Amino acid sequence: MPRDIGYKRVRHYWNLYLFLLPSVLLVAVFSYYPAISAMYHSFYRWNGEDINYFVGMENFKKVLGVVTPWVLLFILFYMVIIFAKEKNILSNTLRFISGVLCLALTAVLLALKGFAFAAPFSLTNLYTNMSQTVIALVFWGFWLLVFQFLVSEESENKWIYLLSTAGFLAAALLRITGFSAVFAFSAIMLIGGLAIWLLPAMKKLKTIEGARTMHAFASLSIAFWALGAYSGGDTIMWGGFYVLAVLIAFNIVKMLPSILTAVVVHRIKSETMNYWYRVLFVIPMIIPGMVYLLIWKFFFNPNEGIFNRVLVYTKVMDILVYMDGILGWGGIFKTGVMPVWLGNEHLVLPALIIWGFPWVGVVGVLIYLAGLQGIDTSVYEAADLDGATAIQKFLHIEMPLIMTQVRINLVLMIIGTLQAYAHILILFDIDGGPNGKLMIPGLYMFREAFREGRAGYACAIGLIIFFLILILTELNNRFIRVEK
Amino acid sequence: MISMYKSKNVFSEIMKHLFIFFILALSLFPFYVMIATSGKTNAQFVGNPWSFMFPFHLENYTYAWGMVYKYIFNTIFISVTTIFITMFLTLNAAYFFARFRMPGSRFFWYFFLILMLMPGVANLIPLFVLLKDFNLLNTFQALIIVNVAGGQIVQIYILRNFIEDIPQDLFDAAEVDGASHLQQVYNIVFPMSGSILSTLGILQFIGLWNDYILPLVVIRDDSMLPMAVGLVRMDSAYVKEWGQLMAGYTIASIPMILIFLFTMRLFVKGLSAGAIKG
Repeated sequence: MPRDIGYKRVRHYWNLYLFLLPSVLLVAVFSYYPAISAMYHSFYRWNGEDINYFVGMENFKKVLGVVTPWVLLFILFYMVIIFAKEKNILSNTLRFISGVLCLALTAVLLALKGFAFAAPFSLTNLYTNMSQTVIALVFWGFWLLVFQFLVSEESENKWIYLLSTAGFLAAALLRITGFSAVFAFSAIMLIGGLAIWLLPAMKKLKTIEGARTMHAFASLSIAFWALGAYSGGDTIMWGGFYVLAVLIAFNIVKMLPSILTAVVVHRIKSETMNYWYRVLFVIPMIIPGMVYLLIWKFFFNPNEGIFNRVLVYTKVMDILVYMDGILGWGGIFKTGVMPVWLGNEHLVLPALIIWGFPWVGVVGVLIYLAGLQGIDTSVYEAADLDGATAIQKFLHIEMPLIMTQVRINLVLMIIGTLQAYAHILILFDIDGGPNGKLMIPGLYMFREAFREGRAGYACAIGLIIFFLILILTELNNRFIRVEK
Repeated sequence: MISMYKSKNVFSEIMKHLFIFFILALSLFPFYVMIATSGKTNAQFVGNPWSFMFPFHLENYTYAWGMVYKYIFNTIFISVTTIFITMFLTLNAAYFFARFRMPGSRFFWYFFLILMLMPGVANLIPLFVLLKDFNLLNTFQALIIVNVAGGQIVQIYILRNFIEDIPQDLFDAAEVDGASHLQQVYNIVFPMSGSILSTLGILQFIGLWNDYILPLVVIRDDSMLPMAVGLVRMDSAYVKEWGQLMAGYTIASIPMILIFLFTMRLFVKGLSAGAIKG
């Protein structure tokens, strides 16, 4: 228990503060001062040296386009977060308002830009967007499955939760038939939102706050997306957010191998083997990450690299060439030609996703294993007696126990993806690969500051990433409590 | 019936082991290629990239050592200094937070804690300008001081919880004997928190060994670069003699492997017990 030292006795104990002094000074100078300076200079035209004059909101206007809707959106985001878990009239209204307001905002933007119908419905659209159809179906179908498993507690309301993902699936299909993406998604969200608000009231269901919150967040995200696309801000910056969205989606899939590995290691009966597997899984961690990244860069080398050779050797290359033929990828893969993974603008994003295969994160595996250790062997025996299959055991015994860790890792992964850019800087150069395909916001900030000499503008970009991450961290702290 | 049940069990056990072997093989494959290639000339590599080949060209290693030794010593100097200064500062600060509740200690606690939530993306540019104003560009001090400032926060948070669990009687006894606070820190807290301090130190070491952006911005001289930047520069600057490059990567991994060998038991245990959760 800490000892209380009141104001009266501080005179005698003042020297205790000396224990803290160096740390506080260091943090103040090297953590707080830069943060404050970044905020300050985001209102300046600044090159890091002599040029430094006040320009007001100029930088933010250049990044965001119209500033006011963004500020409103951020405030709404925050309000929804604050009231997300409560079940009173105020929070319900807020959620409703945020949903409607965001969709209205999107509608106004669309009307202003005339983007409602990119092309009228026709079957040729369906055919030309074939690969998009496949991707959308696979992706949202996957999400549907994930939610099917995640939301099992309140089975009474399950269909309402599923509605929101099904809505995304429907929107993706609508998009494929030729409507503009923003129109498709906001239309479906509007219908889904009305359903979420009206149907439960008719059926007198009690707890659907989760679905409403989820819906509010989804509509906020769509407003975010629409604003990013059509508000006339910096297109490079918002293009970067598209890349980030794709990366995050795939990083979620890439969490699965770690979970599976941890579960399988946990199920192995022999204690000694269990220990040795753990030790072996630490090896990838002690090899410096930089070395691992550079080895992968070497793998991707078109003619000498191992990756293309493995593809040819395992005949995957033939499949890719065949798929190129039927799906119309435009001859990226041809027989006899080695694809340049880090130099072809259509292949850089896949390369960024593939690197690190099989994506077994060592820290992840060890953390999941720690979570799994709480399972008593008797639980397994009981499950065996009941005739549970391996998959059932996974879903009903192991998954619930590591759910906390999975959620933490998920949020940490999203935050990490938002702010990491060193690996892109190394694999592709400072311009983000051919045609700037992978110019993510962090890298863009870095380039603006250190090559283009627009430090003030870079500070404004950094600040926007900062606020996004802050919102995510707040979400994390509110919804994902670590049980210690 | 029983025998059938058993054979099914054995079969599923074997399947599990096979699965783990498969995943392990895939994850370790890059390192296998690294070591196998490190002893080859380019001609040998093009002929057979898959397996070890003889003659194993050890001269690749001597050549690579000439390229990377300065990076390695730089990084070791930077990380060891950083870790020791951080340890010193964290012990003191954590001791303060764990043992006393004084006016302002809540404020200072949150002063540190908020930084754990604050992302540092926007900080880089002003930090660079600040270091320039202090005339610290192109020095090791810049890297050390920034890493100490950033690294101590999580450590203070973890160490505080740890010190609070140390029995109060020990401190009381020391005070009766007339020990000063500094003596209490170094004679009671320091010896008792050895395992947690070393885990934190190793984690910080791994982080520093991979630190890329800050040294890239701060350090100009090639002879002063730390490992990560040096390796990337090597990758892009030299003529692609893969064997030498891979030998360099292998050498760059060795210090971490050595540290791991000495602390393996502690590390696997500490990570599994969730020390990393923070």
